[in-house]
Amino acid sequence: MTDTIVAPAPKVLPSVEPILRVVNVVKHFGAGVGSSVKAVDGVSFDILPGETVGLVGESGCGKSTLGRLITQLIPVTSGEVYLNGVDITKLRGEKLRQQRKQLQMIFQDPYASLDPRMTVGDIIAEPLVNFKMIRGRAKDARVQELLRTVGLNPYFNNRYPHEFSGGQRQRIGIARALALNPKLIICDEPVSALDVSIQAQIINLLEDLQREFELTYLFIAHDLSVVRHISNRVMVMYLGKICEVAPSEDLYTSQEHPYTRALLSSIPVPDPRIESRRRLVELSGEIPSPLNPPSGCRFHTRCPIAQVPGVCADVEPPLELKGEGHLAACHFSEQVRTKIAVTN
Amino acid sequence: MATATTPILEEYAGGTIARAQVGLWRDGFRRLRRNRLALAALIYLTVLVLVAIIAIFWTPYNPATILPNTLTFLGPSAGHPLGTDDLGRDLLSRMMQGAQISLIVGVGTSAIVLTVGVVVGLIAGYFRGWIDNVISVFINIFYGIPGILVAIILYLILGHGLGNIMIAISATAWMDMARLVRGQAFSIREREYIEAARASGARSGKILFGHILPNSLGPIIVQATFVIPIAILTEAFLSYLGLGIPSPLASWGSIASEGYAALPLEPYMMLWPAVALSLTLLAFNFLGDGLRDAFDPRQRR
Amino acid sequence: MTDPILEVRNLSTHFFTDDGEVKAVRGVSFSVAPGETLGIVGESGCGKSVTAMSVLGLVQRPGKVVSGEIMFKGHDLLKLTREELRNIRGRDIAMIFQDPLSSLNPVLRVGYQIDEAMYAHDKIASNAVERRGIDLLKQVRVSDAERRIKDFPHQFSGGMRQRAMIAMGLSNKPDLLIADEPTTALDVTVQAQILELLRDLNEQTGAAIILITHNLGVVAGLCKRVLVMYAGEIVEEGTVEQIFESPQHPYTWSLLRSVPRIDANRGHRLLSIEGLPPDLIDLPQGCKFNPRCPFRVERCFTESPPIEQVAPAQHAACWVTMERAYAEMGAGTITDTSPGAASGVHPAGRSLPPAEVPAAIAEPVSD
Repeated sequence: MTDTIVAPAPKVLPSVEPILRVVNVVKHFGAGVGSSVKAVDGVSFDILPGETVGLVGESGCGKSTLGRLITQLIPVTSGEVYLNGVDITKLRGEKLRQQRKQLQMIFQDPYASLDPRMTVGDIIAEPLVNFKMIRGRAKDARVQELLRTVGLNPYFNNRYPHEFSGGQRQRIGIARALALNPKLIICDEPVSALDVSIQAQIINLLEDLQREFELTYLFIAHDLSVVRHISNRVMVMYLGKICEVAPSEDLYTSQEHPYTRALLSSIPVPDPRIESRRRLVELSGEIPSPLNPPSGCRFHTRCPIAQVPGVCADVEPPLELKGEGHLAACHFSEQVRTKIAVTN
Repeated sequence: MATATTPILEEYAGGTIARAQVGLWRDGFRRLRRNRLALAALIYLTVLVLVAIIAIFWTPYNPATILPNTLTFLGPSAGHPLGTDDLGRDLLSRMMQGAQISLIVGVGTSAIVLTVGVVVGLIAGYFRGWIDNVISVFINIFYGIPGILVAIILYLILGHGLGNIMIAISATAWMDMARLVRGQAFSIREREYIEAARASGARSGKILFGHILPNSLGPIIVQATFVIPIAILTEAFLSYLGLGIPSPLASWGSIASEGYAALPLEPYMMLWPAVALSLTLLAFNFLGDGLRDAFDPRQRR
Repeated sequence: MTDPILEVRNLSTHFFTDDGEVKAVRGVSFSVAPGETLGIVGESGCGKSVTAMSVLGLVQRPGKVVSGEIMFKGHDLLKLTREELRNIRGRDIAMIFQDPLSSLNPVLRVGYQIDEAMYAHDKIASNAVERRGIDLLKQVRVSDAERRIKDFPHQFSGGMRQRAMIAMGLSNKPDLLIADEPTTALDVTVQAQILELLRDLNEQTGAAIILITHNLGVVAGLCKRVLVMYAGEIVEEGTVEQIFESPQHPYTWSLLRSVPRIDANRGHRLLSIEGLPPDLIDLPQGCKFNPRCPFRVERCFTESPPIEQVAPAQHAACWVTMERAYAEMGAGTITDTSPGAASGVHPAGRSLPPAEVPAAIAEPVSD
């Protein structure tokens, strides 16, 4: 199983060291004698400083698990995760804890990711307190500064989370993630639980913060429209593996993997004229169970152009370069656009 | 066009909070106040505590003083509002002393149970793995043994003394608390804010005592409140059997014990402790119930 | 012009809670023609679900319909007895909800539950019920229907459960199907299949569909007419082309510009709507959108605009309307969408420079 390192995004120089390098990461959850849930089954990619890489996929694809593996909130079954050159999968205890200063996470549920018994100020200051970085008046000043940065009234630091709306709580979570001045932030579905008009506020905020603080994001979500908007590059996951990586500009017009094409044809566009012309790519069957992924190409059981019996059922396609900055894991990627129709 | 300046709060993300909302504790106490039984219980217990505190400095008579023969077995009278016992000791003073002892044993045992149970429960529930297995097996083995039996045996081994009684009674009572706390830790550790705490570099101790414990306080306080009447009753029972507080110290249980023998002659020696025990146990139970309802996360929003 | 099968007039539903009276739906009026697909769009708290529940008499305490009429085939549903309403529910008007897991009884077989819906209403002959159950599962495109009809809900995937719900809903050949966020909990590929199914069913059976959702794309694909709700009121209604191509209410307009589109050019900044939806207990005066509207004028603070015609078959509740906003306020080139930014109109209020705000700010400023 070879996974080549992804080509850098067009705007970033190829000679820059990646801030994050994931090599062949695997996570199997034991599910009983002899069987396991293969949540992530061999994923490799790089993230370069300053870029936003999107990770998208449907339920069960493993994207959330991957996010937690990268932050080492759960241990890998095998594989390496290099943060600024340091393999954090090999670290334990205090050494691992120290690495957390550079890598922070924004969580999905604004109602569950803040401790209801702590004041907002304490929540935001917690990372600083954990590392004993500053205290007293300097700490209060920093908390107020962070609140202002995320667009909240700095005098609300003594309030409790339940007094805020979902969007405001998410801002608090973002302020907390910024407290340690990390360079890389993993955003795990940060806007999925928010109302539509609030999503735009948070997306704009994340973009502004990226510019202001030179941040790098891994943006995990199931909504491809949102992911494409905010990311430079998008990675599509299916059943524990990456099936396509593409620059965001190219994603809508050219797909190299049938799953990506089917995914795009399913996304509703708020434009009735376009909607009336579109044609849905029907995927047969259901998503297979991660306890027992299909042989060869995982997608072959549902793929509209799979050669079964044939190479698709026998040989797992490697993730390889198909175009400029564009990778896919498919034996027949050149047929994807010709043989799968998406408009009437 | 209007020229008035924008109100300050509009600048911040629609920075106005949707509606100023009541804090979690304040809402809990508001609901507690509405519960009449719990309120009555609280009043009774406050009075009891005051009586016990006063007894440290003053009682109408010295509870140990044996008065001359003519003053034994008196019923309630002006000089002795609760009467006297078989040795002529003033019952009111002895009951006040009993109140002290009951409260000390009750609260003290609860404190021990709280400390041991919470620590063990948190460790078992959060770290799981082999620690949890060992602790759970231990608890499961000893859970079936009746608490009173253990208390009696332990007390006989340890010897007399208020502290020893408390240790003896907590020897089994902590396990219930540990189980409860373990369950709380189990469910809370899965919540996203715990993950967030770990991601921001919190150490295990911080997570246990800074996050999990504060969020389990409700059920823990309720359980601790229920331990008190159990401890009081166990101590009373031990004293009633003659195993507990030694004379001349007066515990409600020992007064009742002495009163049993005197029952045909004078019912009061047994009546006062019985009434006091019943009221106190009921009060703590009503208070516990009230607290549990008040902190129930079922909020009508 | 055929008679509408459903006509809601001036519906108001309030919730009488400990904290106050939540005016969840206020003065909502709309109609549904036979076989029409109507979309009700809005964010959480706008009242769209409560409206649907009110139509079917499913509003629970502390909620109560306080005024209005709901005319269905000539009868006012609000005046019917519980028995009569129960007859209509499930037979003439069917409803499917967001979470099929909680709408299906986990201990009963799927086939049994579909059949139950038919037995309860007596519209289908008893001996035809089971056969029809299997046909229905086929109609909603559950493969291997003969076998799957005997399965339990947990053996069905999320998409299949929703199909089973639709089958139950259609079992008695209803005139109207109300779908409340039917695809929100589903993956996008499954969502697309369910929507296509609903579209086909609408054509085949002639049942009208009211689709309630917050997803504008879904509405664009399935519905012919759209209602936009905000803070308990209808702020705009029109054909799907009108709403998406020439929205007249600033909320609709802003909403469309705040949603990232898969086919858009990247590099655009999303136009966000600043602020929060209003408190439904303590509503602001005037137009409910005024605290967030870039195009507000003086009148918006004091008087609530009635819903008026702005184009053939299109109505909006706005003193300004986007037509004027484009002409006079430069809406076409706007970059700052903070409240009042385009019109320059702000409410009179306290003014304090940020540094002097006292530490304890208790109450929000009311406009």
